Amino acid sequence: MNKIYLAVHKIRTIEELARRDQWVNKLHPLVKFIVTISFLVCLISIHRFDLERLMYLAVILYVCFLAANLSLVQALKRIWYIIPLLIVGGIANPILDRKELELIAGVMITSGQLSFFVLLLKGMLSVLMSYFLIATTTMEELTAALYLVKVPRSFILIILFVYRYLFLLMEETSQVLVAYQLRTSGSKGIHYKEWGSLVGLLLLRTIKRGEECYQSMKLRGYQGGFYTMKSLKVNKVDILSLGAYALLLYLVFQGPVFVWIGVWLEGVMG
Amino acid sequence: MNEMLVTIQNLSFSYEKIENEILHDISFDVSRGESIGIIGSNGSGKSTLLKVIAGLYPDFQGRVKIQDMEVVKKNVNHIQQQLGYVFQDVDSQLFLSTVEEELCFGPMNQGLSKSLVKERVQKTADILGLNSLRDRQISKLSGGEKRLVSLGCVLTMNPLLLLMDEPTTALDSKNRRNFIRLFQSLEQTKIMVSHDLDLILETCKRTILLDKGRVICDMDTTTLLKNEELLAKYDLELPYALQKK
Ligand SMILES: Nc1ncnc2c1ncn2[C@@H]1O[C@H](COP(=O)(O)OP(=O)(O)OP(=O)(O)O)[C@@H](O)[C@H]1O
Ligand SMILES: [Mg+2]
Repeated sequence: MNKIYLAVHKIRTIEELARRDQWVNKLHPLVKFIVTISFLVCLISIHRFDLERLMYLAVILYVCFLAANLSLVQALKRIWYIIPLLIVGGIANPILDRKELELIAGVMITSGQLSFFVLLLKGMLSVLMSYFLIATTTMEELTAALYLVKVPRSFILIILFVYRYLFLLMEETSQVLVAYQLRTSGSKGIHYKEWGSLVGLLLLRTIKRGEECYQSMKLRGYQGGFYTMKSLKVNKVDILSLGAYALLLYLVFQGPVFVWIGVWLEGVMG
Repeated sequence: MNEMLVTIQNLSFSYEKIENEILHDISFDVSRGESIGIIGSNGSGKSTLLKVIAGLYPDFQGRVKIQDMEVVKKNVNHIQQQLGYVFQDVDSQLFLSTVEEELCFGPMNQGLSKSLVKERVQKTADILGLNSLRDRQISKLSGGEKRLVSLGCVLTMNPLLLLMDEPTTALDSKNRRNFIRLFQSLEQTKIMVSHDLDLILETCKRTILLDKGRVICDMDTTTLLKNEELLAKYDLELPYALQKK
């Protein structure tokens, strides 16, 4: 088993999660889409030193995971490999920006370190939230829902094809690697001289697969619509859930909840 | 005389528009309800012929008509909704993640109501024995199981014309037998490519022998498949059923 095969397998397992039979999965795909997008918008809007509000968002994420009965640990295990990317993206901050800040009572930190940490967390949170979406909603439902509310077709197609193409690319890569390893008596790596031709081969193979996939869609009557067998009616539960989420987002992200807690604590303490 | 469903006149085709022609001057008709076998050695152009008929490469020379509709770019969408195409390579045919989604995809695109789609899928799953596989992921199926699914997702479309490119590869003998029974019970017009000459012998009345993109002969299956000399000339062998012990 090579790593890429395992990676494909992992994503496929996420798809299996999306097919579980429980209330978050059964919610209207648009609800989950709105939840995710609004979360991401809030996330992006956070200032690069604002660790506090980032923490609030982490709480919301955790609530979403709880509601969907998803394991945070498992999710982290599946997405750990993006951490190096985030590190590469933010590593310049702590090096270049050395202004001292006081974090909490006496703990000193440079502003570069802080913004690096915030960036890292932001990255993790956005990936985790996307994970929440795909682990509760199948691609089929999502595209059908977007189509239903008249999101431009080209936009849906991009989402769909990136998603499908990713699988094709990964599956082809894994096959090419297996074939390569079998013919080079199980060598561990790939000789650097062969990288070029392998990548070229891969490109050709995925183009071919992609074309065949498109042909197959057309031959099965695909004419640009997106459908699903799931019912796309909006229920009371959908509206209530979305309302509850909006309230949660407002209370937590805008912070009144914490102000109230503070006031209450002060009152209790005397 | 039966009404013609497919008419092919002087069809020539090449992939890259250069001299390297894959199909040369092919003409034949298929009448409604007929089952036709297409045989020929590797690379003789069988799959290409099916794909051209299905409208996947509309820039060929000559004429192809399906039910009075010319296979040209503007008709392709309409024609393709009435076709069932079983790919030679199952992995290129199946692109969704579960069996159920694959089975529903075709009929949903045809705009059928959900209850009708369900009915069709149920019927097909019963016929092909797919019920236990319906919730499974495609990537976790065996080769033969995928083959059955690829047949299933074509049957759910209830097409006018079935084009099948080696539909029995990877099937075990029981499923191959089931397939033959199924094939015989379908009333649709069928064109089937296969290297399994015994299968052709059992299922198709008429057979076309292709070689290097040309129609070598087009006749009654039994007569063609009995002709050992002719078959040998084009790198084929007598089917087992006709071999003298
Ligand atoms: N997409 C393509 N582009 C260019 N050439 C192609 C393409 N597909 C097939 N060919 C060529 O066309 C010829 C006929 O191929 P085709 O797949 O139709 O053969 P076939 O009769 O189906 O063979 P087989 O029995 O092996 O399936 C072959 O020489 C092949 O190399
Ligand atoms: Mg072929």
